[in-house]
Amino acid sequence: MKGKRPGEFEELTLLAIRALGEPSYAVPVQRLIEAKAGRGVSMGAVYAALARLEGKGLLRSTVGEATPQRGGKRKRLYEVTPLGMRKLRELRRVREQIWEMIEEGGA
Amino acid sequence: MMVARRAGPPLLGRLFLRLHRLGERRQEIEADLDELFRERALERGRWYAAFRYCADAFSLWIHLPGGVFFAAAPHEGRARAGSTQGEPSTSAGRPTFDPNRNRSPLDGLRTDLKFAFRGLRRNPGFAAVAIVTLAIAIATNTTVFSVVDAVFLRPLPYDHPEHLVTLYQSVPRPGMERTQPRADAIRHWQERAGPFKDMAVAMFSAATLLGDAGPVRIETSLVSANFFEILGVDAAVGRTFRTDDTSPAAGGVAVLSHAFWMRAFGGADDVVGRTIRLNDKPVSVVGVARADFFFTDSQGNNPVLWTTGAEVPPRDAEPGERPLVVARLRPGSTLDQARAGMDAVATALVEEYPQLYRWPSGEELGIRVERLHDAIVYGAGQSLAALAAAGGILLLIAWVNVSNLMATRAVTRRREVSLRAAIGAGRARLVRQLMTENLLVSTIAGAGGVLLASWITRVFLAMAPGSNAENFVPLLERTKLDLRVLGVAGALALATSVACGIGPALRVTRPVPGVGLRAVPRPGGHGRLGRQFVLAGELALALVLLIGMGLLIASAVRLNAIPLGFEPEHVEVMTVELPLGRYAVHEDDANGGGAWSLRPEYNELVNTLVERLEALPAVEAAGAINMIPLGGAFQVLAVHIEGSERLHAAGEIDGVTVNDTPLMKTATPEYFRAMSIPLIGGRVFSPADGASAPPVAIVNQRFVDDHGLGDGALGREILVRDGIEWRPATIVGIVGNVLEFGYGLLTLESGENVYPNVYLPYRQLAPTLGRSPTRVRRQATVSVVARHRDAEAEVAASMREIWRELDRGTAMAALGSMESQITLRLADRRFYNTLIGILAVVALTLALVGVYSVMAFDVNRRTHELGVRMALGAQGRAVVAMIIGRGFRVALLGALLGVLGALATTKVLESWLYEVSPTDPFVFTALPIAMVSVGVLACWVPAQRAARVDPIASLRAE
Repeated sequence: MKGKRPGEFEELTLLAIRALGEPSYAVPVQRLIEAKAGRGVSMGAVYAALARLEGKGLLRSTVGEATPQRGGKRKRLYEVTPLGMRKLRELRRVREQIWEMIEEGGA
Repeated sequence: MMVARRAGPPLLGRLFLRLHRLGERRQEIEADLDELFRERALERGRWYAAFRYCADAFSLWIHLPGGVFFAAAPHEGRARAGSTQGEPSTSAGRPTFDPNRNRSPLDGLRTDLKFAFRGLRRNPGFAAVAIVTLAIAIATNTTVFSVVDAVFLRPLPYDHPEHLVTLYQSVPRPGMERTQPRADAIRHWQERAGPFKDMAVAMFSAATLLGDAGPVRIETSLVSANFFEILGVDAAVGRTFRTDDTSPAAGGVAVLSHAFWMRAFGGADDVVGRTIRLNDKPVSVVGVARADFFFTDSQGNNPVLWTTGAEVPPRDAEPGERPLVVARLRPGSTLDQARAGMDAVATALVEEYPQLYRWPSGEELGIRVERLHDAIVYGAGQSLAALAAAGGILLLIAWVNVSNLMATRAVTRRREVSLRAAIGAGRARLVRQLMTENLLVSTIAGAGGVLLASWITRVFLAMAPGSNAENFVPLLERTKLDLRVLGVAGALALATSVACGIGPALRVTRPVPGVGLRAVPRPGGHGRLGRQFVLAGELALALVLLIGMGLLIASAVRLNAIPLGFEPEHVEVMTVELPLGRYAVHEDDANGGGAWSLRPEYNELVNTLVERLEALPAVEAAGAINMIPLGGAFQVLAVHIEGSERLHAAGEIDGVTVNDTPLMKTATPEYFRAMSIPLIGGRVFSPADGASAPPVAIVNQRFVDDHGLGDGALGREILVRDGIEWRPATIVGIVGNVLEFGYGLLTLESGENVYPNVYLPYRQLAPTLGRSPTRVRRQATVSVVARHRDAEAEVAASMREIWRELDRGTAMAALGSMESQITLRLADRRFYNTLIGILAVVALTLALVGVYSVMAFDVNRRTHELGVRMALGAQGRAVVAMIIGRGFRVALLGALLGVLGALATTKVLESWLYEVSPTDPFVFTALPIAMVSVGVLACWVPAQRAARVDPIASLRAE
């Protein structure tokens, strides 16, 4: 499993793709994370995360249609693979379990 | 500036993108960034969008240094790629070391850049100080360069502008080498144009354009028909002038400037052939000049409309004429040849017309030939040289600072460098890595500097003295950030990284076998003494600037203390320039000369204006004057005073000795009360001082003092020459002195701002004014002043109203409060003082930052030594004293060097200083003391930190 685990930013990216309604592309991802995380997010970081996620097999990409809004230029559309979905759920489960421990202990 | 004007993403960002290897993904990524740019521009503005665009483009280099990466095989573990933790050099799987990678020469650079960026992120304090320091210095110098480029370097927009010259009549007296020639002289030159292909003449004046919305004043120029041909420019629309335009049948014709065409005619194509009314005369438009065309003079006259005529310069010249001669060198002939040729012409003219080409005191008049560009920017050099010098000093200080920072940083990295060397990195590779970091710092600083420069340039242009002000800088409006300027900024950034970085990089990578790995950075060693000298030098440079600023401020304080001689509060001024055709007539005499005479309408108009203003309830007193103080123009008249010991250089006129040429002021009785100019003795004019009454005059205190008239001044008869002959006038009053010009225009003789004045009543002016049209021009300029009861808006509105009723066809030249007039005239000096002041303060701040950072670093580096000392019983206070003592010695040395440097250089400011010596003792003591004190303070924080060193902790660090 080494090298298959997404880092924090990658997890956010993966979640964002899912949240935006697949398939989505880099620009909305950047805007969503920046808005929700409340910090500046560079496109370089987004591309790097997308590439790594794709490399890990958690995302797959296709080349979308050219639209006039983008001057006839294509965009690369991403969607979460079943493996990616599994990873997300797994991460969430782990987190929730740990959070429960905190709440129980801190009460 | 550049960024703000572009519709699309900024050049810098696109450059980052273009240089990156994006392969097949380029289109997608560019489209993504463009989309973001548009959205951000809409949401947060263009600047924000541009900034983020650059940051995004740059971030691709940081996060994806390998360029094409997307299709990379999953096995290439890149888990570390987004992380900034840990020691980069030990991380495995780095693309650089991957032999299977498809490498390009840029790959190494990308890797180095990535390291460099991470290195800076780990040490943000260092990065911020270095980048901000450099950005300020680069911005300053970029701005200075863009100004120098606009004024001096960029050629004028004409065909082979280097072959264009201008001709002056030179009088062999100081300050009179460049006088504008008289009309008859120009004609004589044109007849003997020897060294030149041809000669054109341009005269600048303001004129009233009668439009649908009433009269508008515009700047115009009357030029000879060959004007555009000699400059070698053609029209954008229609045509320029032809020789047959000057025939009476052609009527008046005009060429519009491109900007004026757009502004006044909305760029309409059918403008050619339209008839406009200029100064009450119909003129038909024949063409529009090219968009880049302009023709200005050293005063900043920048006409928007050109007309031509049969005789340029004409006999019946319009008001405000300032003839400028433009000639083109024959192909193959040089400026020196032209000068020799015109010298011969000058000599011939003196022989042929001795009465015209000899100064009254006998000197022969010469002809001065100068390149057109040199003539236009004449005088601007000194102001800009001072700024350039200040900018250079700032750059030096910044370099010293950044070198120090980089040197100290290199030392802290010795351990890391040694480790890398130990695992096999070559020295060249290590130097390259360190240099990349320097390059990154200076590139970011360069980009920031350009942004800052675009802002500074805008502020600078907005603040610069306007046309016809003292110290006006011509051609300044051409200032812009273009590729040349960006090139300079880039060169500065590159020079910075080499100059500041190479030394430390070489030093730290010098192989010291077996030492590196175990050595904790140690105190002592090389460089400390040297660094102290460098620091002292930095403080010295800042002190030179500070002292320069101090001298200028001291001078400004003394200038501001000069009394105006009148009270500008609650005084409204309206200035009108009366067209000669309506208010004066020219009478030809038999031998082709002639003289101007004022029509009775002129005095009537002045009287009516003043009377109607006096009738306003809000007005306390109103008067008229030919030349308003601080208005920028002046007129003199020759005076003979029996028994005066002073003799004027003008010698004799018509057999009468000229004792003085005071300023000639024509005033109405209530002028003095309206301006609150104090009456010292006798009386002011009265309505009874009319044409048939005995002629009277009022003089100012300065005139009385200059001629030793003393108590006998009142009732004394003097001879004045306000027209074509001498006439007597009796002094009936003495009034206070008034500051007539800006602070810079001092009298040549006394070096003071106060000139002798002779006031004459309007109703007694000599009716015949003589043959010189410039004289008439000044007669025809009238300013009316009204002292009001704090009702400026109301009085201004009434003035406008009254003027429109009296003369529908002439636009006002100016309307405003006396206070705003003063600000306008005196602003320029404040402008340069402010600029030098800002530069000096920035320089001092940078120098102090340098002192602080080096001291702080020194303390950090010596933690161990200090710990040992304190463990052995040294008191905290002793440690503080030691650190501060070191700072004090450095600051003292800096002060000493700075004073020496200032003593050697402030002489260049001499002409800007008023009643302040360039070695003013107060400035030369107070500022060094202040600087030493602040320098010592800068050591305070590091010293306090040193005193808190925990001996145990510092020893444990072993």
